[in-house]
Amino acid sequence: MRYAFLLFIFLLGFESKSQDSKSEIGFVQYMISNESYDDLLYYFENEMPESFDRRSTQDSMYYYAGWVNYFKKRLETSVNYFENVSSTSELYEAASFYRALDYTYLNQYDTAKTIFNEFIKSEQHTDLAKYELCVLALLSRDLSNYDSLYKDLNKAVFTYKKQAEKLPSYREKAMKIKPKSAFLAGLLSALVPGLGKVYAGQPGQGMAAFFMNMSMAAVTGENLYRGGYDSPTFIASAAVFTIFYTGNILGSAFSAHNREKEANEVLDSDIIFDMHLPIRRTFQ
Amino acid sequence: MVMLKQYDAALLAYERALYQAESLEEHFQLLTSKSELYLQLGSYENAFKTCQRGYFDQLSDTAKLKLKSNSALAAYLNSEFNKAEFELLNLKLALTDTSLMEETYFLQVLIHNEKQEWNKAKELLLKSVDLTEMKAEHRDSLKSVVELMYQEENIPKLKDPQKAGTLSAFLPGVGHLYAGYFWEGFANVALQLVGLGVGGVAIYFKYYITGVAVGYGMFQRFYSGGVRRAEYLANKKNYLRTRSFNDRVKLNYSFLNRLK
Repeated sequence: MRYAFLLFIFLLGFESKSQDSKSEIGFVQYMISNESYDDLLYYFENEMPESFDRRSTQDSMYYYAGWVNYFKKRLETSVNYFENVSSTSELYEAASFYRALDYTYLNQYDTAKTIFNEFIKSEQHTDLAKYELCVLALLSRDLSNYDSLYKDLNKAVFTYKKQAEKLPSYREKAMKIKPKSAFLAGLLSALVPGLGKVYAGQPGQGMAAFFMNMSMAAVTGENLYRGGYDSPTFIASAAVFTIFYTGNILGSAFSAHNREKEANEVLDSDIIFDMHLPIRRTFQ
Repeated sequence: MVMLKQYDAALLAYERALYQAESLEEHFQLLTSKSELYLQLGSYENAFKTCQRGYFDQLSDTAKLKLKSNSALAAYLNSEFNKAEFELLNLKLALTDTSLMEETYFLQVLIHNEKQEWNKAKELLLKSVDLTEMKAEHRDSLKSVVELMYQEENIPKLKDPQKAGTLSAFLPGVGHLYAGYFWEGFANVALQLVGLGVGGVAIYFKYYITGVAVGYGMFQRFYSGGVRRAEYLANKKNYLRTRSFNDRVKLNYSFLNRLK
């Protein structure tokens, strides 16, 4: 009788713990459905129980924590949570794809590539993994690899059909972004003020810099002609002209460097978005 | 938790309670409290979103009133006056007892004032006075206070920013003066004159290029900057006048409420 009572107490405890786990998962899902992401982040950081009675519950919690952190672009934290999802979990594949996206956002393309390749090896979600590898090649600007992957890609798959159609236009845009030499931009602006900015793709700023420098040069020339090289007005105007002139050279070099970087960043953010959509669609 | 300033923990606690809420009434109460905490924290967008989570159609009239008033207040505080007005319009359509809308008169007055709809605001304030239980003579004197407040000469005289800009373009400094900033206008004119003076002196001493480039350069920068500044100052004056008028209305309304 006593043993039966103890067994009853044990089972009661187990049952209530299991109920707690269920309710915690339900609570997290409830917050996700209400888009209470800030509350979720606070929950995962401060109130998520350290362990659950069932491994599957634990895995689900890690998956949700990874997903919410991914959504809020807290990528390193997201990677940590996704890594904790066990390989036996039914959420493992989704966690791995999202983890690869985290690495892509973190510019760790090789790690992302390794994850996608594992799917191809294990013949799971092969088409999706091939698509992601193809996009990754475009992101790395490895165009010959991209071309061969794109050629072999099954473009009829619903989850990425529309995104795959956009890839050739991204490739074209990537080709158009020519690397600009900061040195050449500086040199051009040294020869003709503002020309370096025109080369960097900012013709308006180049024209403005040209007129500003030419006016200052004319003022300096006039002060030299009227007052001589030791006159205070010449020294002052020459100093101002030197500041404008050297400032324009440095500005042109920075512009050339930044313009290329900015153009690549804009394109990459579009490409990554089209990497994300099929994954989200597949593992909704 | 709120008393201990553990706001994140409190917001999560509300969320957990919402998840476990067993009745519509409890759900509504929790949403209201959470939205009020967001309002207190100045997180108006979250306050608005929280109010939108209520099962609005299934609520009682008083609950609908509370929830929509909060969402309209959140939109108003977020300077989204049309959105706030739309929330109150939705409330009006949803209420079976439309007399409950009287509770939102103050907010409506503030929204109308922000949108410079002075007549609508005045009408609502007069209605509020009518609703007070007091002697007829007291009511009449209160009404005359409202009438006085919204008289032509007392409502904010708003400046036309475009006009301020145009005035400063034709007569430097006059746009600033029109916007009510005499000394700024004076300083702007002085700086433009300095530019022209530098140019004139340089040309007098036969420094023609310097005169044109430096003198005109200075003048042109202060001139175009002055035009833009005059427009900005007109907008600033409008904001300050509307704010001060709304503050006066708030003061009178709180007095009215005390009388109620």
